[in-house]
Amino acid sequence: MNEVLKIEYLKKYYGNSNNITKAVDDITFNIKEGEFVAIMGASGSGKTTLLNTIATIDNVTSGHIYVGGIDITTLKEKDVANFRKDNLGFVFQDFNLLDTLSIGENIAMSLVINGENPEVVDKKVNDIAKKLGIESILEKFPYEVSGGQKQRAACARALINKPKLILADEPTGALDSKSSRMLLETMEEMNEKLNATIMMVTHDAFSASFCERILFLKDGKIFNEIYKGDKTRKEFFNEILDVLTLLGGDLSDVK
Amino acid sequence: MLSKLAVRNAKRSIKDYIIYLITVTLAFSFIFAFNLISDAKSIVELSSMMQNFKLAMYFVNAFIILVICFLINYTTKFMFQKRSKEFGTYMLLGIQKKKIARMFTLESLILGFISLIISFGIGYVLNIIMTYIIMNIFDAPFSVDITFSWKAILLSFLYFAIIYLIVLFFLRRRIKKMKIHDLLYYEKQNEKTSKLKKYRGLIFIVAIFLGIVAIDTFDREFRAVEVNPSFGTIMLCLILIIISIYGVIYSLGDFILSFVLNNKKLKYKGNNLFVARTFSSKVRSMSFTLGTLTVLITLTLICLNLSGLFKGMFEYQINTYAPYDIVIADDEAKFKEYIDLVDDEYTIKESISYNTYMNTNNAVKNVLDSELNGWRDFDQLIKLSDYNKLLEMRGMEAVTLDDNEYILHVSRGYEGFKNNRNLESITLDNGIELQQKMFTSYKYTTSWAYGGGYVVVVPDYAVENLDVVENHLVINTEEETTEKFAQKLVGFAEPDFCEEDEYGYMVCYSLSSITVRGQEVANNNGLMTICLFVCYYIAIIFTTIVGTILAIQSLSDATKYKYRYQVLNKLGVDKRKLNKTILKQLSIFFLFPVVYPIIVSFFAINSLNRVFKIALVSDTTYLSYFGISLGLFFGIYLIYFIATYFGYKKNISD
Repeated sequence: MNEVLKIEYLKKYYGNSNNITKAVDDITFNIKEGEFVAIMGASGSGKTTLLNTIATIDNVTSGHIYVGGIDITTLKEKDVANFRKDNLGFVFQDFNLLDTLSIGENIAMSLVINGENPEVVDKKVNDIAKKLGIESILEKFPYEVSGGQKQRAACARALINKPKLILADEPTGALDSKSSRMLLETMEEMNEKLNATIMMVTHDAFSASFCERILFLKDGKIFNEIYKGDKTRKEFFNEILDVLTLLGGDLSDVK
Repeated sequence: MLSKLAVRNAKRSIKDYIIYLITVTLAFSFIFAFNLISDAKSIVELSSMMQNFKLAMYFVNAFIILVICFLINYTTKFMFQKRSKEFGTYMLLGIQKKKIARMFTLESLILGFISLIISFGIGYVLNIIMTYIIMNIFDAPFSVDITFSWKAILLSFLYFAIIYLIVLFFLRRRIKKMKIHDLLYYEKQNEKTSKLKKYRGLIFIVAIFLGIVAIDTFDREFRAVEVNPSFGTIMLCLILIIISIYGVIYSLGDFILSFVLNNKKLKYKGNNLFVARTFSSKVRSMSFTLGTLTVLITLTLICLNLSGLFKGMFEYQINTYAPYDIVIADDEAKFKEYIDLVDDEYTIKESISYNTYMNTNNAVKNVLDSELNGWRDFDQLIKLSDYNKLLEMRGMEAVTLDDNEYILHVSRGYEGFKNNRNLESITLDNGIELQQKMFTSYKYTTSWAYGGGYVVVVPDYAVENLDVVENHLVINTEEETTEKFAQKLVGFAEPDFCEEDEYGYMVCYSLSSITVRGQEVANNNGLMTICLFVCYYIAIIFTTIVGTILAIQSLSDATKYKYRYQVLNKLGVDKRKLNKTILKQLSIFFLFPVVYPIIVSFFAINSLNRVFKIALVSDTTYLSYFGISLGLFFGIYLIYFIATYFGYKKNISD
């Protein structure tokens, strides 16, 4: 299978010469097409920074990120917008939907801006909405629908371009447990039926248990990596909890 | 889609920035109204002075445009920051910056254009009102000019274009520089602490010192008897004051904070701690803007004060030169004909004729030696009975004199001679000795006796054997007199003798002197109208702009820091106390940029008064102008404050 994302020796440092924060410290890993990967770690472990560098929101200090074979660390400013449009989809904790547009228009946004044929746009929006079960709210505005529906709309927006990689930053963070479960099942479906490649950042073991593979970050480094394989979700969930217990502190921290 | 989005965003902005839009509309309305007025034929033809009105307007408009630019630029920047996340999302979706810039530009233009279009309507109404006021000042018949001036509309469009070109230039630059990370995480960004923080105390002292130097230098320019203020020095004072204002505003917030924090009693009293902390953080993050607002308020107050001084001066001049409707000094024999002439035109309310007498030993003139000396080389006397009639015609109370007393009524320039020993008693040509009963400058008018600057009021018997200087005829009419009638009267007063001058022209002289109030009023009104309208124009626009920026800033803070009040509420602060806290906070925020301008403008008008006082009713008249100016300013300011207060409460409880 093709590698959608390839990260080599990635470093991202913050601060000045006196006070350096190594948010991402020499990370190397790959994500293959059709994978559903979670990045886990405590607050400040570098999860979101990692995601932001891949999303071209942040610059890297050193190292390379290849998305679909293109090294995004060397992209020029003016090419970045097009790159994002063609290759990346985003799902955020706080939805980032535009409240002046209806749900349908939000989903259609990037297609329309880039001059897609109106009929094609309509068809694509309806298709994706049906798949994600939000076709009944297309005419509504974001403030008229629930958090779970908003997040599924955000997923639809992320999917509509058929991007190579979908980046999700704590997508269940603002949702109640029922909506969370529904959203995760939706994402699982996106991954399985639409063959979307998803990288999800989360600190929630339950969310992560929907993925096939989990990378654990600690202090900007990869601490552990586990695969679901043939395990049931429950077994996988327990395994995650075990790793998290280890992640919580070293033996030397306990006195 | 892009334009659809822009229209929707603009619609939403209208709701959020209604105060701003009202102000911009008002500003455009005023610009349009003044363009119409300065272009209107009926106004320009009112007096020769009004030609300058147009020029003054171009000059003032240039200045006003600059300030409107500041407002629009500020608000656009503000909207941009508030919606940073939205723009970040656009970029994430792969929309190019160019397109985002185009959309936001379109939005700003839509808002601006709506304001411009509405302003034509409001401006037209304003124009009618102001024309009415001007016509009233000139006592000219008021008629509405229905012809719509295309030139004024074009000029408005031109100003609009200039303003938006500048604003959009800055906007494009801002968008070009923006980074997606900064946009998405703008709210989480910390404010940069200033490196100058350590020196705030020092800056405060230096700024105050500069202010004192500027005020003192300015005062020095007007302190000397020989008034000859240099333009350069005054400009220097202005620059110093502006620097001082920025310095004080920059450092004062922390000064107050440290004062509150160091005083335990003050610190833990009521909501002081919360208010002081909120306030100083506000000042710290927008010290430059607040500085600019303070400068604008200073200019506003000075403008208003100046308009007060000018108005007072013009009114005083009218009352000094033409307190009566018609004053004629001519041959007594012709008075009957004059009266007939006036009677044809107006209804005569009352009239008197009297003589002025001369005293050639100059008992008074020799003492009143000053540069203000008139061209008469003798003292002029009026009989008490005539004097009392003249006073009564002006609605003043009659006075009494004993046989051995006199009254010296002088113009304000001679006030220094009050209590002068040499005037305690005088002896007239006919040997009569009189004691001074009263020395006054109250409502002196040159109409009583031309060419002296003072008049000696004596008991009726005391003019015996003295020569008559002139015969005077004073008439009050029911109607207001006009400039035209004055010319008619002058035409009637035939020249007394004519001679050929060196170029061969016939030049005629008349010994008669005619003053018609209507003419004096018309002469003065041109200049006064220009001064007043320019001053009020600047003052109104500046005040509304200051009010708008403070309002926008406060209202967005209310939304942004809603949680602060929720925390206070959870800590047990009830609704009533919360409202009190808000009121206190907003009051301080709105008063902060006003305090320094009040001080500066007070000293400025105090210095200017040294020049103006001679033409004002009294030495302290300027204080009332100062009060009126503050009243006018606070009148407009208060509207913005009240709107902000209620908006703030609403935003917090939403």
